[in-house]
Amino acid sequence: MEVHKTVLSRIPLLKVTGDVDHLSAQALEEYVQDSLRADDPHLLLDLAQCPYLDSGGLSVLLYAVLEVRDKGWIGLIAPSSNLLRIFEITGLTTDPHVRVFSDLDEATAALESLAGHA
Amino acid sequence: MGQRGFFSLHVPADLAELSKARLLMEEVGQQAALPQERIYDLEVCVSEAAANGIEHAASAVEIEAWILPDRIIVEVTNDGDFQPGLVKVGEARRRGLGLPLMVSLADQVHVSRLDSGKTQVSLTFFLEGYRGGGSRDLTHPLS
Repeated sequence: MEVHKTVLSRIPLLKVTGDVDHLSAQALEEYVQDSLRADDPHLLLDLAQCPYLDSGGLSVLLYAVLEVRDKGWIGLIAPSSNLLRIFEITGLTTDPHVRVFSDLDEATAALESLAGHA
Repeated sequence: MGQRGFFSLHVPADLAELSKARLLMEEVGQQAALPQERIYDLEVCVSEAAANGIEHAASAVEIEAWILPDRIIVEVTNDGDFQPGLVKVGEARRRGLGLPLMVSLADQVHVSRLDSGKTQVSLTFFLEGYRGGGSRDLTHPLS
């Protein structure tokens, strides 16, 4: 698994490439912790190139949700149908602090509409 | 491997080896003609069971899988007791979701404590059309 850190509409965006299992989740967690340190209200994860994610990865996402709970949300971009099913089974996607976007454009639009209201 | 319908893999006590377990399950699922979605479920369940043995019992893991006419059975065996990784104070993050995921995704999950001091997680995935329950009328058990 590789993580590429970038920015979308001034919000940190982590592009995840490869499997997130119990091994790589540790590295992903470090990226997430690092990104949340900057006090941004939201965090985006681009999962388009992530074919596999299990409870190792879910734990990292749940940790991130707890961290942004008081100020914003976690945006999950382009998860595969398999990942989405895992998110739904575990209730992650029903959390009001989790948003799922079908692609980067949809995430950008959501962030811009927020900025417009600020 | 080798014998038709039977697969086995020794996974050293190293989380970096989990991807090999998933590759094997992909092979098993494809050979059993499971839909892609079920192959993914199989990969998650076996990876979770193996990760559990490696993380909590620091044990190498043996994986054995059989493709039977109506189902796939995978047995994941490690040394030591099963520890489902229940939430502990202060480290709630990487804990506790593996077993619920296995139960949600597999058709049957059995956790057995073996005489040898080992723990075995047995996962069953029924092939299309063979999942139990549909044909029996439990309200009329004698009919």
